[in-house]
Order: sequence, then structure tokens, then C-alpha cells
Amino acid sequence: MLEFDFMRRTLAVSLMLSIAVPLIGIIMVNRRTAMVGDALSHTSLAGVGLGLILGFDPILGAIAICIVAAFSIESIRKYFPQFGDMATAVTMSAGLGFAVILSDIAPGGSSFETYLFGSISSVTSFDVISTAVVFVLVLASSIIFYGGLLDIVIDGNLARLSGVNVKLVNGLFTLLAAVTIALACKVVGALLVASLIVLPVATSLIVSRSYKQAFLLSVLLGVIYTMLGVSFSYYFDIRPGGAIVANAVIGMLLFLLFKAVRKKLKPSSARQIS
Amino acid sequence: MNAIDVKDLSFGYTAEQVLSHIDLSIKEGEFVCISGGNGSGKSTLLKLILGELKPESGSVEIFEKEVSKISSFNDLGYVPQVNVVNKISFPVTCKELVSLAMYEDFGLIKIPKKKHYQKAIEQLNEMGLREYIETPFNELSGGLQQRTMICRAMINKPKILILDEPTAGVDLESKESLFELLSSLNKDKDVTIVLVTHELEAIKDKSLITKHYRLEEGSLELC
Ligand SMILES: Nc1ncnc2c1ncn2[C@@H]1O[C@H](COP(=O)(O)OP(=O)(O)OP(=O)(O)O)[C@@H](O)[C@H]1O
Ligand SMILES: [Mg+2]
Repeated sequence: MLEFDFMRRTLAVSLMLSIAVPLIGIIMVNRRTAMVGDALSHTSLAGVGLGLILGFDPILGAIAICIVAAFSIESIRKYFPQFGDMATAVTMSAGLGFAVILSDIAPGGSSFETYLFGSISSVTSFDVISTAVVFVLVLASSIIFYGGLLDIVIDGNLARLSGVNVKLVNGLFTLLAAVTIALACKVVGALLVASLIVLPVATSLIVSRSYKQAFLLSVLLGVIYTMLGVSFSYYFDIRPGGAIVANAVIGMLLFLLFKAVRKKLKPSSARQIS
Repeated sequence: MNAIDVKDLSFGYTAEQVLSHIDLSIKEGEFVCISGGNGSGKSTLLKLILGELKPESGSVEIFEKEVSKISSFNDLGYVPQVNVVNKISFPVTCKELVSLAMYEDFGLIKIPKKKHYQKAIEQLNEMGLREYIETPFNELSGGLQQRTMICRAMINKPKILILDEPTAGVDLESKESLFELLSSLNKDKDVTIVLVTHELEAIKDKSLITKHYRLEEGSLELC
């Protein structure tokens, strides 16, 4: 499959996303806002519609809308913690509603479908460059703010007292999460981005015994699921998003099985300290 | 020098005031207990002292410095109420959790380095948590979680330790050993202690407590 230009582009973008998305995912899942990822990816479709209608690259529209939606959700979460979940749902419905209307007006219905279900054949050179930029930023921030991000997830107040610039780290995370999710829609598909956010992390949390382990394993699993999924997509002519998620679900089941077997064989290793 | 100075402090989350015109000064080396019914505003008062909440009126000073102007809180250890920490549902080991408190010392890349883990391990050993260094925090019992959080709060050798109901949901034995730990920190290491608790009766040596306040209907009274 490497002989085709489009596949080389797709593989490059997929590899970068398969590392960046779990890095975002581990924070979102651990602070229990995984659904925000779902809301953002769905909302980004409205941006795709705007791009198609007004004639600019739909991915730019998706990014812009995602950023606006992400910061709206975050501020509602902050000022009305009791409504946090609802804010996510409302943003998602509003975004999706607009997207549906725009999709009726937008020319070229098939491009819309690309963003909905993902595709391996539509990745442009511009996508490769923009994904590379975001990938570097996400990777760098995840490493530089490793301790700060983790501490904020544990307790924002404790993190602040320990010297974490909570506002800066949160803001940077929200921005990068929004852009990463928007970019991921093209290959994985808006409907399934949330699965890539959640599943590698969920699987790694099942077996990990430390945060460092969970962090590294999430990325590793993201890469395996995604690269296998994209290859399956190419060889069997199925949509990449579906293939990636199918891999992830199978992987998760295997890990659950592994854990159950290990517990049976060595009951002491999984003992609960009470 | 006063460790903590609260002057004419008022605060409410809504129009209703939770705290009104509170005055509290705590000298270095004191062991102060604050009790009061559920919802009386104990946690709120601590959050105001820590600068997590902004007072409506009045002021909070720590070592004679306005709390909102403090740039490093390494002199101050804080152990939040347990239901705050209980929500950690993912694996993070005690060693990782404790080492995070040394964030300001991590350098440019904010990942705990070997020396930070080493220091965390020493501190965990010292507090009798040797067995649990590599154990995920969420697998510990409430008492051990509290101990770990105190360990975290103590890692920078703070001069003040503020604890919010550290004995809630902890069995009597662990309660007593927790209080023993606090008294030895106070006596031997000269740490100023501010303790919110309902369970003064579990403190055996009451002579340690220099002041006991009750928070009721928004005001603080000395008992
Ligand atoms: N974030 C918040 N928003 C609105 N009201 C709040 C908030 N936090 C606390 N309150 C209210 O402020 C009052 C004081 O709460 P606080 O948590 O300080 O009480 P407490 O004395 O610590 O109680 P407990 O013994 O249950 O820990 C309560 O009436 C509570 O309902
Ligand atoms: Mg409280």
C-alpha cells in the first residue's frame, strides 16, 4: 500500500493522530469528560458544512468550530459545575443540528460523508502539514506538562498549590484537544473519534498499575489499533473508522480476558487492599 | 510572627452568606482545631485561607503576605476533604501522587525526576507507607489514602499544615495513629497545624491543642 501517494499521506497522518489522540484521551477520560470529545467531533461537522458552503477548506471550519465549542463547554463546566454534563449534550446537539441543516445546503454531499465516517483516500498534503504541526504541539505539551496535567486531573486546587499554572495548562489542553479532534475527523470520522479517544485509554487503565504505565500503554495501543485499522481499511476496502474501532473493541476484550486469567492463576497479584 | 491572619472575612457562594466577619489569627507552632456542623462553612473557610476562593470582603494573610499575592505555596501543606480525592479512579501510585507536590522543582520539563521519586519514597517510608509505594492510590483504604495525602502535603517540609476532616470514614485505630502523627509533626517539627474535625475525642493528648474554634451560623467562636 506504500506505493500510493495518498496512502503514504494517510499513514503519516494516522500515525501522528494515533499518538496525539490518546494523549488527549488519557486526560479527558481520567477527569471524566470523555463525552466532551464526542461533542466536539460532532460539532466540528457544522464547521465542515460552513467550509463547503463558503468555499474554504472544510477542515479549517471544523477546527474553528471545535475551538469555540471546546472553550464554551469548559467555561460552562467551570462556572456551573452542576450543568457540565448538560453543557456537553447541548453543545453537541446544537452543533449536530446546524451540521444537518448545512449538509442539506452544502454542495458535494459526499465530502460530508467523508467527515462523518472517515476516509483513507481524501487526505491532502495540507492535512499532513497541519497534522504534523498539531502533533508536535500535543506531544511537546503532553511531555512538558506531564506532571501538571496529571495533578490538575487529581485535584485542581492541590495542583495550584503545588505551583501548576492551572489556567495556562487547562487552556492549552482545551485548545489542542479541539484542534486534534477536528483533524481526526477526516480519517477516523466524526462519529467515531470519541472511540479513539476512549478505547485505548480504557484498555490501558484495565491493566496498568501506575499512571506512567497507563500513559505509555494508551499511546502504544492507539498506534496499534489505528495502523492496523488503516491497513485493514486499505486491503478490505472498509471504512477506516470502523476498522480502528473494531480493533480497539477486540483489543479491550483481549485485555479483559487476560486480566481475568491472570487473576485466576495468581489471585494474590490482584488483591484488593482494604 | 503570625502564620495565618484572617481579618473581617465574609463570603457567600450565592447572595446568602456562608461566613460573615470572621477573625482568626494563628501563631507559628500552634495546633488549632475547627469544628462545626455539616455545611457550616469549614471547608469554605479553608479554601479562602488557601486562596482558592476570593473573599467578598476582608483579608487573608499567610506569614504576613496577602494570600492572592503569594507565588509559591511550598510553606503550606493542604490535605483536602476525602471525598475530593476519592474520585481518583485511575491508576496513579502513591509514589507518583506524592512526587507531584515537588512540581516547582521539576525544572523546565514537568516530569518527576529520579530524585523526586527518591524523596517521595523516603517520605512514604517515614510515614509508615513502605508497602504501598507502588500501589495505585485508588486501591488504598480511606485511612491509608489520608496518610498518603498527608505525606504529599509534608513533602516540601511546610511550616503550616491544613487538614480538612482527615479522619472522616477512618477506623478508630487509624484515627488515633493519624492524630499521633499530627502531634509529632507539631511537637517535633514545629509545624503549625490547622485541623478541621468532628472527632476531637479521638485526640488523646488534648494538651497539644492550643485553640479550639466552633464555626456556627457564619461566625467563629472560641471554645
Ligand atoms: N461550590 C459551591 N457552590 C455553592 N454552594 C456551596 C459550594 N460549596 C459549598 N456550598 C455551600 O456552602 C455551605 C458551606 O459549605 P462547606 O463545604 O464549607 O461546609 P462544611 O462545614 O465543610 O461541611 P462538611 O462538614 O459537610 O464538610 C453549605 O451550605 C454548602 O451547601
Ligand atoms: Mg467540609
